[in-house]
Order: sequence, then C-alpha cells, then structure tokens
Amino acid sequence: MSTAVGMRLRCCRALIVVVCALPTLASAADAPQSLSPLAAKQHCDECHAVQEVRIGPSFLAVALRYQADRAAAEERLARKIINGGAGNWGNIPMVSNERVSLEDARAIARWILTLAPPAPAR
Amino acid sequence: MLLHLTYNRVGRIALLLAGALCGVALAATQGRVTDLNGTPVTQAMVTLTKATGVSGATATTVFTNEGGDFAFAVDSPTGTLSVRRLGYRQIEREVKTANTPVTILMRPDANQAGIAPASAYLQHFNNQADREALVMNCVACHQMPAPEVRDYARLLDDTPQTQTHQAREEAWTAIVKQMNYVSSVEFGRAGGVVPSGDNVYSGGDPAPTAKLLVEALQGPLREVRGYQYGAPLIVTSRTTIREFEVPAPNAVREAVPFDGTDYLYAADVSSNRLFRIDTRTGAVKALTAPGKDPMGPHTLVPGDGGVWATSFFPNTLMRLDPRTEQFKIWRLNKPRGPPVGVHDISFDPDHRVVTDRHGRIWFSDIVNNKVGWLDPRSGKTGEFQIPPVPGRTGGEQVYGLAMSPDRVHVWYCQLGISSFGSFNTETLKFEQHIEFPSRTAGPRRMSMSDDGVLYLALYGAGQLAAYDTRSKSMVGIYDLPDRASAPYATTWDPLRKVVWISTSNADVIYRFDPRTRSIGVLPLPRERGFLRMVHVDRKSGLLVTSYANIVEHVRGPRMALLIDPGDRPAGPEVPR
Repeated sequence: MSTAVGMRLRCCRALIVVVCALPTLASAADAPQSLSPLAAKQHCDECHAVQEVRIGPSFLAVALRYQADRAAAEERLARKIINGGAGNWGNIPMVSNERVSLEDARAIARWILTLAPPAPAR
Repeated sequence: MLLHLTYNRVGRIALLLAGALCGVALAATQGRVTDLNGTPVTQAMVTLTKATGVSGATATTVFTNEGGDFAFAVDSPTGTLSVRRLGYRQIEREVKTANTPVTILMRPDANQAGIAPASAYLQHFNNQADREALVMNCVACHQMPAPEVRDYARLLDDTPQTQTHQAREEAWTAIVKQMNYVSSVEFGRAGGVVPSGDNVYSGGDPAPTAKLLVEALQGPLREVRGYQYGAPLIVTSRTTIREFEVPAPNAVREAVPFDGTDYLYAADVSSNRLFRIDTRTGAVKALTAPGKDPMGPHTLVPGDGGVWATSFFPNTLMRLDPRTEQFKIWRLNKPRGPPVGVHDISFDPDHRVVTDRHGRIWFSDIVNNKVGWLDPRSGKTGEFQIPPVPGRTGGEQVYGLAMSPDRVHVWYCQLGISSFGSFNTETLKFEQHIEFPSRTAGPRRMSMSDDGVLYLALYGAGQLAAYDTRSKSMVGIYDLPDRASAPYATTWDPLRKVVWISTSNADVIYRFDPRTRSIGVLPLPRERGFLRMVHVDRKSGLLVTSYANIVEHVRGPRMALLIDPGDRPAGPEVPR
C-alpha cells in the first residue's frame, strides 16, 4: 500500500504548514461557498476550488465568464467536464473525465453557474 | 481448495455419467482459434466471461494448443468468449458459448494497443536511471502509462497550445501536482495532514517527474507496436486462470487461499473488511472486523489459526478465523508511543505466518524504519530501529520481510533506499546489510527458499535479485524480460522449486527457475492487471493473486485470481 509518493508525503507532513487564510476575491458571490456534493464526489477539487485558482480556474471565475448565457453554458461546460481540452483558461488542457455521466456533468455545470448571478439585462 | 478440486472432478464424472445414462451428449465449450486463412493461432488466451446470473468465476481463461484448439471444463458456465494474443485482434466482438465447437477468427494487427500491457509504451525508454525513477514515482499507485495517461497524451497531441516541449512540460507538471494531491488524500486517511488551501499542491516537487513524462511519453500513444514478452510463455492447453470480481466499491489488495477450504480471502484496504470468495460459485461475502477505528487490511498471510492481515492504518494487526469468521485484533503501539505502521509480517518458505523460536511474529514498520515483534499469546510488542545507512538516510521505507528457515534471522528490505539486511532474533542485533548500487532499484516484497536463498523483486530496476543468506553472497541479479514491468513481489514455490514474480505494469507473472536460471512468462488475460503478491496453495499447487487497483480513480479490475499453471501431471488435484 505504501508508495514512494505516499511515503514521501508522509515524511514531509511534519514540514507542511497549513495556511488557512484564503484570499477573499472581490466577487459577485455574497459569501464563500463550499463545493457541491456531486463535484466533491467526482473529485473536481483536485484541480478546482470555488474561489481559489488551483490547476484550473476557480468555479466562481467560470460562473462569471458564462453568466450572460447560462443555458448555452450549461451544455458547453458539461461537455468540457467529460471531454477535457484547452480553451479559455491557459495552455494546460483539462483532463477528460469520461467516467462522469452526461447527467452528472450537467448537474455540476448547473451548480457552477449558480455561483454568479445571471447577468443583468442590457 | 482441495475440496473444491475434488468436487469439480466428482461433479464432472457425475455429469458425464448422467449424460451417458440419459443418452444426452454433454459438451463443454470448446473450439478453435484461427486466422482468416484457417491457420491455427497458438498460445492464445481464450476468456469465457460468464453470463449475468450464472454461478461461477467471473471469467475463466484457457490457452490454445498447437492446433489452435481450446476447451473449457464441462461444468463451465455459459457466457461470451474473447481472445487475446499479441499481434492479433479478434474480428467478431460477441462470440457466445455453444454446445457445438466454436471457431473464433483473428486478424493480424501490428498495432497492439489494448492488448499489450502499459509497459509496452516504455519499451524504448531505455535510460535506466530515468526509467527507474518514473516507475518508482508513478507505478506505485497505477500502471504507467495507464489508459487515462494515454488519453491525456492524445489530448496534448490534439491541442494547438501544447505543441511545444515547454507547454507539454507545464501540462504534465499540472498532472503530477494533481496526482501528488490524490496521493496525499489517499495516504492522509492513515492519519496524516492532507495539504489544503494555498498549500494544496505542496506534497512534493512535480518538476522531475513531469520531465520524465515528457521524455517517456512522446507522441499521441494511440498505437504501440513491436512489444514482445521477451521470454517463452509457460502456458499449456491445461493452463487455467479463473478471475473472481469483487463487487464495487472496494480497494482489493492481497488475496490468499486458506488450507482445506474452497474459499479465497481478499483484503479491502478501503474498509475494515476481508472478502470471502467461494471459488465454486463466485459468491462474495464481506467479513467486517469489529471496532470503529479504520484499519484497512492490505497484506494477508495464512497461518495456523487463520488469515493474518496487516493494516494500512497504523497500530493494529488482525487475524481472521475462517471457521468462526471472528477477528482477533492486537494493538501494536505503546501508550504515548509513535504510531506503528506494519507492512509485512514474518512467513516461512511455505508462505505461512511463522514465529521466531520464542513465539514472536516479526513485522516491518514502514513508518518508523524499524523491525518489530508481537507475541500473540501475551500481546507484548517491541521494536528495533534499523541502523542508518551512510549516504542514504531518510525515506528508508522498510517494506518486505522474510524469516530464515531456522527461524533465527529476520530479513527486511528498504524500498526507499534500495537496501536489505538481517536482524538476529536471538541476539537482538542487526547483522548483514547490503545495498543495491542504484538507489532507485526499489526492492519490495521478498521471499526465501527452503535452502535459504532470499529473492527480491526490484520494482524500479525490473530485476530479480537472489541472495544466498547462508554463504552471504549474491547469487545473481537477473534482468526480467521487460525492464518496465515493475516486479512487485517474489514468491518461493516450495512445490515446484521455482520463484513466481508478480508485476504491476506488465500484466504477467514471471517464473524463475533457479536450476537453469531461466525465466518463463505466464500472461494474464486482462489489461491493468496491477498485481500484488502470488501465493501458492500448498495442497493443490494452484496460484492465488489479485488485481489490486486501489486508487479510486483507477478504473482497473478488482479481482482475486486462481491460477492453475497447467504444469503438473493431471490427477485428482488438478482441475481441467
């Protein structure tokens, strides 16, 4: 069970200083939100957080980018979750997640989009 | 096991008699594997996957003979047939079992994707130090390149932004960061601190591994060609591999036989359970150890009184009594003492738990770089710190353990610094210490022959080391046919006087014959055969092992295997 990486991590733990003060982003969100249970179950947190930049963009930033057209964005994000690929957020392609069903991917996309209010009508 | 084999034979005779009496022709599933010209395809793996709701092994595999013919036992279940052989691809997907002989057609295909193991993609990654580092860093948790890794390589190839060396290195760096985090979550379950917040990716420097990935995984990895097993296949038309799937969710680790029963026992490191697998029906029963604290059984060793299990979560050793299905649990840590993380416990050349001459079971403490003991009668324990190795201090990871035939010397190896040594259980002093030249050779699980030769699987180096503990000399270090195979464990086979070597990355078991110093290959019928240790059932001679894909992300099989190599004379103890 014990692996090279795992044991290295185990050895490093004493050195890890957990810094808890997350930067508060100036955002449309009223309060920090936690990951949805479905996003947690699908391990989205390995690369994304609600407000922090991890390997990929924060969910809040994604929501803000697509707040103008939620309906189209839901489908687009769902496909992105399953197929991965690079696009709007830099050069590192997102991994594909073919194990995630389209239904789950849509539900996660819907949740992401709720993090920002719909854009006001112009 | 013996009961089951006898049962099988009696059952078959009864069926044949019944058939003869009734005048009904009872036919086993049998047939021939050929190419489109009718030329026989030899030594092909023919797998019968049982239909849903039918009793038996999840899948049974036999091999074709020189005429391309194969036959399953008369009492084999109904289901579908599939064939795997390097260099060929099956033409028709769904071939059903039938009462009349079946012909399965194959076409030659130089692209071995989906048939060759993960290690095939590393066959041209020839820098030994780099290959060792890559295997040691990645294959401990999953095959490399696993299908998901190949998917990502294809994505990089298809993406305009990742066409440069630097962009690929950035992308692989991100993946290694993710994997380090996954690893820290997985191992954090054992009580450590999981990085979070701004430090979420602080679990190790991803850059060195990312550089190795860029070098090793060039191109889209859609195809792999030219892979060969590198040594003769040892299979015959009497070889049978039975695979038993354990229903998800689980993280199956080791699987072992238990004398005189029809059951295999498999550890689930994600819980406090052992699974009891009925080899007659395939039925799986979960046996849960009492207590609220997580234990996570992983290494199993049969012994007098039951199946012993070491736990991934520190501080406990447990034993299941298969007759009563009750557990007994021992605590290993002292009050206020450091947590004790047991990896292996002492076993004899028959691969059964063995004590020293004072009734003490010995164990390797991977967390603290110690060897320790438990007297199961009194519950008393003790530990001894392994002396530091000059120039190789830190991250030692004492891993495998084996007891000498005279029950005096405990041998251990250190995965993290590639060394091994012995401890005298009479004088309570450390004795021998030997280092492999490469620090990333990676010795893992060991076993000792009944004449005192210690066999070590060198995970990183893809080699087998044989050390004579009596003459205190290295007999030899042998290259395995596939140096990227990640050999996980050696098992001395007291019946055949050979060594079985399970691999994590090559979907094969190697057989080393010390008399001729030759290696043979037992191929397995499934991708992602991430093997743990092989156990030999001492009554039947059957081999037992498991596909131990533990990490939740890894979509590989979670199965226990029962293998008849088909190398012993047919008789009441050998199934066909």
